[in-house]
Formats: sequence, structure tokens, C-alpha cells
Amino acid sequence: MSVAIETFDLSKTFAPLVRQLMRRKPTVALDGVTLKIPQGSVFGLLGPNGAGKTTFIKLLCGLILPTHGTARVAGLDVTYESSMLHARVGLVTSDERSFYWRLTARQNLEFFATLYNLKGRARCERVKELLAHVGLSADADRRFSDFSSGMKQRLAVARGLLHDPDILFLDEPTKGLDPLATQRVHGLIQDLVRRGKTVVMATQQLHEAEDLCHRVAFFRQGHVMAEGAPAELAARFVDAECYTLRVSNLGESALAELTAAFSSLQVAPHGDGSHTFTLPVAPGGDDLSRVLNQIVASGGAVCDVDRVRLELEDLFTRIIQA
Amino acid sequence: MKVLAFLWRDWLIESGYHLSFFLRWFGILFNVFVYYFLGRLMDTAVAPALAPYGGSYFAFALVGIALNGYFSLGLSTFSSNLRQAQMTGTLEAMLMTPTRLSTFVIGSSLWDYVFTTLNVLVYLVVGALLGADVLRGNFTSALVVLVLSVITFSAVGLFAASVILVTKRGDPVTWVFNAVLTLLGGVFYPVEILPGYLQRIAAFLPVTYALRGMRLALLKGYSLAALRREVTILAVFAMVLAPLSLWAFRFALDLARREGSLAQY
Repeated sequence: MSVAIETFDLSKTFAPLVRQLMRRKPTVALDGVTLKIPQGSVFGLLGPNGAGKTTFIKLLCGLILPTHGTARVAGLDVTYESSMLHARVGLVTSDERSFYWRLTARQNLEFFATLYNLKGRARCERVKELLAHVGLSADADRRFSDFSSGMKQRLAVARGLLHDPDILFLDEPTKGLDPLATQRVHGLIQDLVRRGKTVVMATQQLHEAEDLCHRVAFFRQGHVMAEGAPAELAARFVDAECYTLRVSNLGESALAELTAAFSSLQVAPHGDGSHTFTLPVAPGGDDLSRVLNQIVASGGAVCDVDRVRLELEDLFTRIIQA
Repeated sequence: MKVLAFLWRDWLIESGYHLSFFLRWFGILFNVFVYYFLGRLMDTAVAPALAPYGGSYFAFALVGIALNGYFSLGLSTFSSNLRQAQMTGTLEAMLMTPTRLSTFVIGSSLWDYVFTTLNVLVYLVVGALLGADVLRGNFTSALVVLVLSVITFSAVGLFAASVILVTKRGDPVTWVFNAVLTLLGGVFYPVEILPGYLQRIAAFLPVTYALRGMRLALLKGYSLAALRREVTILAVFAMVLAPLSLWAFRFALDLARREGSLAQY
């Protein structure tokens, strides 16, 4: 697979003139990031606030210049070819302020479409097509100020796609959105990848990254701590998966036998006589099927089984510890 | 054309604020009447100083405040539009498009220039209806003086925008020029009534020649040949300040991109 984005030793130190004059310490936002992002994939940038994800995106979009190192996006150097780069990449942020609130969705898109060199009929058609694509046709002539957060975010995606970019950068695209709105944005991202586009997405949500991203990179204090496919990283850094089971009709003796057979099993009783079990399972282990078999053999009924998803912080802590 | 998209955007936004839109026009009419009555009071009192400009304070002040609109605009429009885009968060979205920052800066100020031109026309037409002899001058000379003045003041405004790009707030360039403009520029009174040492300072200001040239063109009908001193000095200001301000703006832009503060406020 060919490479859409390639960075080498990319670094950014913020040292404003005023700060230098006051002899204040500069802020290292990104430090020696070397990455290759394959074309036609979704690449996730993960990490806590201030890890350098947004700085990385802004550097790749040519909005800020690197202190040292190089980055090529769609084959273009971000430092020297930023104007050509802007015709090939799109940026979607969660900042609602980046639109004109007194203008309608259509007027906003038409203005930005002109800045992307779209003219006349082609511009109107493209705006119409994108409004339909993000499900905002019926609201096209409503003011942006009347939009919900989810609608604003979908309009931001539409704006990012006006010039049909090869690469789309999304900075926390589902921040503050309800599950339905999140789902719609996820659908739009999946559709882009089906059309061969490359998507680079910064997010705080590991489950979002797991659902959407082919590969992810963990950022911490400007460094890339780990990079790979989400499952690959989980296998590398997580020594056990965790499951919860909701079980009813299990007698006292059967419960005692079960806890004796599986020492890592934790039991939480409920008032209605049912129990919730928490079971850590080593990768490749068969503890889950053995526990399920024993419950069923003892006459118990398994009402629910759920894999506990690791939160970003959990996996992140493990990566740091590793 | 991209700059026209900015003009259309600003028209849509401005006309969306109905009350503010109409109040601005009413404000212009009230201003004209204030200077009309002031003129009736002052004509005889300051007649000797007004003699070179036709003797009417109303006509003198009308041309002054009309042109002052362009001066103030040139000084502040670039920096205020840039600052507003930083504040509203639209600057970054625009910088993501293949649009040069200079196109954005010029495009964003276009509506202000159109609105100011309409203001000036209203000032002159209403003034003429009230008896000011402002529409029988030499319009070719007036246009040349106006173009050179706009270039000169826009160049100073671009310096101000450069400062805003780096410091975000507190633009000393506009502040100094506005203060000097009000005191020494001769917008509301002829420079000739100032003490000698202030007149010598005023001689170094482009506004002195812009206002004098415009008044002599509109109120006395001076030709370009008769205004060669004012036009030459304004042309020198324009030729020196325009490239310098473009260089300063480019330098500030590079600095802001290096610092990563372009869209910060």
C-alpha cells in the first residue's frame, strides 16, 4: 500500500518572541515524530490533552511550520508547498466558531467553496451534493446559529470535503456529540475510506479508534509512544481481556464451586438473586468458555455477556508502563 | 473572483442585522446636520483661515469628515478584520483553503470600502442639498488624490495588521495615527490655525496633503497641475509605504506561522 503521509523527526517548539524576551521556557509540543500513514486508511491519533495531536495535525495541514524535521503529505512538503497542499487536504475541527453564524448552511458552504476555487454551477451542484451527503438538505437554508452540535459537525465535514481532498484531517470530530450524531459522523468517515480517501483522526475515545481506525499512534508529551493496529497494540500491551457476565438461577454450592475453580473470578451479588461476574482472560485463553460451560452445567442461566472495553487511559497507562 | 465572495458574505451578514444597518445610515444624516448648524455658527468667526478653501465651514468640514472615513478605514480595517477572524475562529478555516492571506485581508475589507464610499456620497449629496458647494469641483483631481490617499493609509493599516498578527491585541500604529489625525490632520479645522511648531509636524503627515488636495479639488476646482505639490508628496508616501508595509506583513505572517500563533487571539 502506498504512503499518504510521511514524517521524519518532526518537531515543534513554541517559543514566541515575547516569551523569548521574557526568558521563559519554550513549550515542546512535538518531539521527533517519525510516522508513515498508508493511503486509503483511517489513522487514529490518540493521547491525553496536550499530547501533541492537534499540533501534529496543524503541521501536516501547513497551518504552522515545524521547528525541525520534515513532513510530506500527498507527496508535498508541508513547509514549502503549503498552498498546493491546501488543495489536496481538508480539515474538520470540533470548533463551532469556524462558521458564520448569521449565514445559512448553504451560504457558508458556498463562501468556502469559492475559496476552494469552485465557480458558478459547479459550486452550487457541489454544495447541494454535500448537503445531501451529510443529511442536511432539508436544513440547507437555516441559519448556522439554529443548528444543533451534531448538525454543525456534519456541516464541518461537508466543508472539509468541498474540494474532494485526498486526505481529510479530523480533530476530535465527535467531541460533545450524542450517540446518534456520533454514529452519523462515523458513517461519513467509513464512506470516505470506501471511496479510497485517507483519514487522519485525533480522538480521546479508544472505542471510536477501535471501531474506525486501521492503525493508531499514541502520543504523550509530543512523543509517539506506540504505533500499530489497535488489536495489535492491545495484544502487545494488555495481558488480559476482561468480561462481565450476568447470571441467574445459580445455587450457593454451584457458586462456591465456580469461584474455587476460577480464582480470578470476582462476584457481585444482586438483590434479585442474580450475580455479576467479572472475569479476566489471558489472550488466547479459554477461561470464558469454561466458565460458561460450568454455569450452564450447574443449571444457571447466562443473561448477558459483555467484553469490557479498555478506556484510553487504561491502555495508555499500560503503554507507558511497558 | 474570491474577493467578491467576501463582499457578498459581508453584505449578507451586515444586512442580517437590520436595526444596526439602518441606524448606520441615520447616523450619517445626523452627522451632516450637526456640521451644517456648526457651519452656520462658525462661518464668520473663522473666515480668514477658511478663505483658501472657499470660506464655508460646512463645506470644509463635510469634505474633511468624508475623507476622514477613508483614513480611519484604511488604518483599521485590515487589523480589525484579521482580529475578528482570529476571534471568531474563521481565520483557520480560511487559511485551510488555497487562498492567500493577502486575498483574505483585501477581500475582508472590501465591504467596508464600499460602505464608506456610499457614506461619502451621502455626505456630499446631502451636504449639497443643504447648500454646500461640494459637487461642482474637479472630480478627476479629487479621484487621483483619493486613490493616492487610500493607498497611503491602507499601507499604514497593513503595518497595523502586521502588529496584530504578532501581538494579537494592542495595536500602537492605529492608535498613534488616529490621535495624530484628529489633532494635526486638519479634518475639523484648517492646519493653518495651529501653532507654528505643530504646523511643522503636520507637514510630515500624508493626511495634511490628502485633505488639502481633496478640499482644493472639490471646493475650488483645482486641476491636477495646480495640485502637483500635494499629488507628488502623496505619491511619494504611497510608493515608499506600500512596499514597506507588504514586506512587514509578510514578515509578521512568517513569524506567526513559525510561532504557531496565526489563528490565536
